[in-house]
Amino acid sequence: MIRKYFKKIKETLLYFDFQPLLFFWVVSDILNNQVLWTTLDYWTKEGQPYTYWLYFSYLIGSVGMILFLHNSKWLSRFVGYHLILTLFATIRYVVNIYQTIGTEPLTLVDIKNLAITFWYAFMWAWILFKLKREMLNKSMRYE
Amino acid sequence: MNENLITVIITAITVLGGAGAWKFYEFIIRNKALKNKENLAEQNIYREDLKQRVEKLETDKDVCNGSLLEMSVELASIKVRIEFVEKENDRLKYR
Repeated sequence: MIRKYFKKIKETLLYFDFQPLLFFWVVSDILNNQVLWTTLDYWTKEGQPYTYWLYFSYLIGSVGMILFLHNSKWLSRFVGYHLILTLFATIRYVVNIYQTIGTEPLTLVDIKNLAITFWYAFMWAWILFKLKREMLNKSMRYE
Repeated sequence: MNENLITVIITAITVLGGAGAWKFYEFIIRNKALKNKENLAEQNIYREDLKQRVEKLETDKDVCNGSLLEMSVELASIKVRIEFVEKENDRLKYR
């Protein structure tokens, strides 16, 4: 069963469209995840314990994507979950900027971070859209 | 209002909006596919009708060919007879 699972993963990586790109992206995402390199204490001292849990949620999503790379239905669920987290982080950032706009001026770093987080949100939305469309086309083919 | 609460509300609205947009897109794509299927079915019906008509015409053509052949044979025999009658007539005239 384990061998069959890894065979399916290998075939998905070899013959599928965007799943291989997703695989490399998610692996790099996991390796960059702060949960692996920092502790909750570190973030608590920084005054941002929620950030640690946000990273932890990202880790769950990324691991889920790796595990279900061969299964479009579950992959789309994990991509959707990841997209919601990215949207949450993006919107939190925008709300934070909006609420502090009178006291703190908008810096170039803010604009850069905002552009990056928006870019990620767009990327995950695009991946989810591709996955859902592929599933829709498959389901219509068998109707 | 609490920053996190605002974020959660805006995220929820965005997600619901996205889900709604997807449902709308799915509806349009399914409708398009259904129309294509119907068009294809209509085209198939028309093609089947054309096939039947061609088959009928082919059969009719074979029957007509047979009749034409029979008529040609009869015509040839009549021509021969007329020639014979004309010759006979001339011979009787100059007697």
